[in-house]
Parts: sequence; structure tokens; C-alpha cells
Amino acid sequence: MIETFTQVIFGLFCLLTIAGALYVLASDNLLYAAFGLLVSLLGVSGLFVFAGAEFVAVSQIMIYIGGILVLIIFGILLSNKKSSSNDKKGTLHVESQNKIFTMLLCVFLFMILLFFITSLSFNIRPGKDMHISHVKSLGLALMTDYVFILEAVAVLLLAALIGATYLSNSNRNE
Amino acid sequence: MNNLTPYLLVSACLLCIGFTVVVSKKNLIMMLMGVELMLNAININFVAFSKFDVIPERGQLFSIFVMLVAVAEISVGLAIVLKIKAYYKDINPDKLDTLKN
Repeated sequence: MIETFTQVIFGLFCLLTIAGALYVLASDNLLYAAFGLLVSLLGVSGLFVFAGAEFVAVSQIMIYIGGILVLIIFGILLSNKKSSSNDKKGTLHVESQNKIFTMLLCVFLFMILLFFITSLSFNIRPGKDMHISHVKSLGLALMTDYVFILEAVAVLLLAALIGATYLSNSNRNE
Repeated sequence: MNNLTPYLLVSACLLCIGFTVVVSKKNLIMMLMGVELMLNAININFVAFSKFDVIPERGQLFSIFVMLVAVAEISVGLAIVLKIKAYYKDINPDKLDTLKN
């Protein structure tokens, strides 16, 4: 009973992820596509919980939905000034080219990946799947084995912060 | 879930959809969204493999680092997109065909 319930919830999150991504693909409106991306990212964080990575799931919600998606929506709304004259359907309208051909390409790529996934067989130990929450060991690993990568990412984030501030500074005199 | 295959299927589907968004949409912000979808697909793979790993921290920390790099990429990318919009009055990548003047 509880197993079936778990599988139903898992399938729901899978469906949420795929449906949000398909809405991003199918939508002609930039803002609606951003909302579809939100649904997809929420589904991905649910999948992280099912894979036993609660900390990554919370980070996904905080970083992607709280950070990246808000940034994207800000970018959409800031770049949405009525300036170009030749758009009749509004500035949020996105045109896509070669829709049928790219759909076929997508399905073809998915078929290749599907062939490889179904032909693989992994040696999975059945007893190892239910980890208890291991945020503590995650923090220990972050501060011991992966501290160099942590510092490198910190430098990268600082560079991105300075770069983004410099680029978006609009009223500097050249 | 005690099986790896559903995660891999969802990840493959997400990767293909993200690739199609990047290739077919004629808008720079939409292309950035497609890149985010592809990065999410890779993150699902990392976390799903780390579930059956002896040391589960490896894949999870890698996916967190991927997220942080995505943050850096999207912030600088959106700043560049806003500058392009201010200069060309358009963010259709087909129309950005001038190098200087």
C-alpha cells in the first residue's frame, strides 16, 4: 500500500518535470515559459527528495526558484520595453524556427538515449537505498575533501558578481 | 524508488527538451532557460547515481557545484542580454550580426 503510494507520488513528480519542460518548449509567450520552468524545477526538486538528497532538493528550491527564476523574470520584464516597431504580437512573443524538424531531432536524440538506457544494466545493491538524512556528512565532506572546489566556486561567484555588476551598470561615461 | 531507470528516463527526456528549446527558440532569454533545463537533467543523473553510491556525498556535492556554476552563468548571461537589448533593441540571435558599428 505505502509502496504503491510512493510510486504514485514519484510518477507525479516525473510528470510535473516533463510537463513543465514541454510547456517551455511549446509556449510562445516568454513569461509563461518562465512559469513552466518553475513547475519543471519544482518537479526536479521532488525527484531529488526521492533520490535521498534532501539538502540538494532544498538547495534546488532556494537557488533555482528563489534565485535564477526570479532573475530570469526580472530580465524578461526589464527587457520588455516597447521599442521595436515591427512586432505586432507584443514583445513577449517568441518565435521558433523549424518547429517540426527540431521536434523530430529531439525525438531522435531521445530514442538514442532510450536505447542506451535500456541496454545498460547496473549492479545495484538492494540494501543501500534508504539513507537516513546525512546533511552532517555532506558538510564534513564539503569542508575536508572538497574544500578546494568550494574555494574555486567562491572565486567564480565573486567574479560573476563583479562581472554582472559591471555589465549592467548603464550610466557609466565611456 | 529502488531503481535507477526512471531517473535516467526523466533526465534523458529533460535533456532532449532543453536541447530543442536552445536550438529552436529565437530569443536569448529562452535559450538560457533551455540551458537551465539541460543542467537540471545532468543534476538528476548525478543525484540518482549517488543514491546507489558507497559515498553518496560525491554526486550530491557535484550537483550543488553545478547549481552554483549555473547561478554564475545566468547572472552574467542576463546582464549581457540586457546590454544587447539596449544596444540592438532586439534579442533575436538571428539579428545580432554586427560586430562593431
